[in-house]
Amino acid sequence: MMRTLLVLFILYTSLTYSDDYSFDMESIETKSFEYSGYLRTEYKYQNLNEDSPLYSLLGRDDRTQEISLNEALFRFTYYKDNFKLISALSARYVNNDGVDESIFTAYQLYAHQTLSINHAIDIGKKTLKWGKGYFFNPAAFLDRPKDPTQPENAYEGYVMANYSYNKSFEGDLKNLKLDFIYMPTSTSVNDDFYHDTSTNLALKLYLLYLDTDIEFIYLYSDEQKDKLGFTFSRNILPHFEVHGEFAKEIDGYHSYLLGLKYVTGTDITITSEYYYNSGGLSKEEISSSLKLLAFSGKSYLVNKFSKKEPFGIVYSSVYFRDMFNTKDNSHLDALGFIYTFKNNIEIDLSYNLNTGNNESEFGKKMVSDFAWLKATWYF
Amino acid sequence: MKPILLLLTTLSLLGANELLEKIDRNLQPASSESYKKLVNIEPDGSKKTFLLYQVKKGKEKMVSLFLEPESEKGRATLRLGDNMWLYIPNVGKPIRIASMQSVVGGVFNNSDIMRLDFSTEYKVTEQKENNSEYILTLKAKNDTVAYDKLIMTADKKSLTPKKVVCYASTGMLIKTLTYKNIKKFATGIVRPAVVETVSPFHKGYKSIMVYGKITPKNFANEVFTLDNISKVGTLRR
Repeated sequence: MMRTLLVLFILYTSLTYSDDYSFDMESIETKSFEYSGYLRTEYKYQNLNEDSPLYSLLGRDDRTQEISLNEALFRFTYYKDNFKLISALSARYVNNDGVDESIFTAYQLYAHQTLSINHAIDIGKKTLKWGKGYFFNPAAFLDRPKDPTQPENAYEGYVMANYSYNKSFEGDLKNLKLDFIYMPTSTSVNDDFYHDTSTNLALKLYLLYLDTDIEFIYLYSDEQKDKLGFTFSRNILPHFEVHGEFAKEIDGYHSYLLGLKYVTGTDITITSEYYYNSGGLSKEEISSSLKLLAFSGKSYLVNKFSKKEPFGIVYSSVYFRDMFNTKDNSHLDALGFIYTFKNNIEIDLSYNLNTGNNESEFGKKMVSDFAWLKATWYF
Repeated sequence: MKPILLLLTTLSLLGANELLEKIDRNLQPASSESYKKLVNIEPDGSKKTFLLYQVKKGKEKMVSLFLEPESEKGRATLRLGDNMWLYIPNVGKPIRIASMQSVVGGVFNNSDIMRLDFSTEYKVTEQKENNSEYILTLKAKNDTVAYDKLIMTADKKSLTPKKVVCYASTGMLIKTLTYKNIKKFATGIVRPAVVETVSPFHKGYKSIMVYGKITPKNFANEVFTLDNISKVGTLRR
């Protein structure tokens, strides 16, 4: 009996050993296509702020509100020699306070052709995601606005043609990339960039110079004001990165961002950004508005502290994020926990709190605080 | 007498640095592509496996792409000297990262995964030997390197590492890497196929890196640029 058990034990351990130490060559075979994506379900349980002007305006008499969102994101890439077809399709079903809505969006759908090692062209709907900021990107002229509370979310691009030239060098200047973009608009294409027919041309020069990422951007439009942009990012120490963006509309607003990422000796990552927009709403304008677009104020300071593997729990992290409207002293705070299971499910559970006086951006929100659960299954 | 001793020590260390370069070349050709499997084993025996595709050129250029698990698929890292960037498909743009941060969780950190040649990051400060092994003390060339000091035990016959013990500048032990299972790869490279890592900071945990395929190959410098970080998958085809 003991002998049988011993043989079984040796067999089991050797099988386990061979599994961990062996390499399945089939797992690295390539196909002409690739797909990935996720299924996500979100649930928000929100306490309402009875002192909010919107609460009175909507004539509510309840104390809580529930929102659920289900999303499927499907990415597909087809490869054929130097040609690629890239797509990211999203289907969302939202239930907001009992009202249903289904939304289908092609976030990206474009063709990529590598002409040579230095030259490439993309045509179709593409998300550019310009800028070095984590929460805000004032220089992302040809991107839809991102949600600073969910900066890592995928979002929809614009239809465009993008030619790029990329060249590496030895010396202080290690890399140069030039992007030329043609982005037309009409009443049916890119109509939320400009509502009617327009021609927009952008030029972006990227340099990796003295270990610093530097970008110069110029946007020409025949219907809207031209814009100039500048961005940078650099590790001043291995664990300390600084970045910034500057954007200027000719004869119009200007906006800038200064940020840093610092990893402490105890592995806490601090991400801080100050964002200013001269065209944003002042304290008085916010006070007199009933409903506001998110983060439409003049200046914000955002600090996020995240700690990987708290209490030795691998594949987890805890975070605290404070979003502060510096003009009216109101805050949106979040305290959350993220865990990625071994079956590719990730959960993000957070408690979020709006604070400030009844005339401030976050203090006047109809929701005073909410619990937010996001569960994502990656495939 | 003193200057002669100094000269002899310098000459012997020059030889030791050449020895370190030979060890590097035996581990991986100067320019190559490779596939690695990482297994994080937790104290209760549960595991998480990662599959990685890497392309390396010269002394300071490397890109990596996660092929598995699904939660990490499409994540790519670029290392250009001391600069490191991470690309996450949802985020859609590269962000700068620090070498000590962990991309995958567990014992491995970014610099373990995106390790350049030992001779690029370290210089030999002391060399000892016995019948079958060289024992090299390596000191980081600058403070951007994740570990300040390494003690490497290398096999004299195969000129590959058997063990590397990593220390912080404070002298604190950070982790121990054990190289195992010397194997002849299809491309003729003979090196340990397995690197096991343990760390006093992750008691009971073990990480294993298994090399599946190493192919000498030359790549254009433009492969190692921010523009290409989202397109690393194309190189596999």
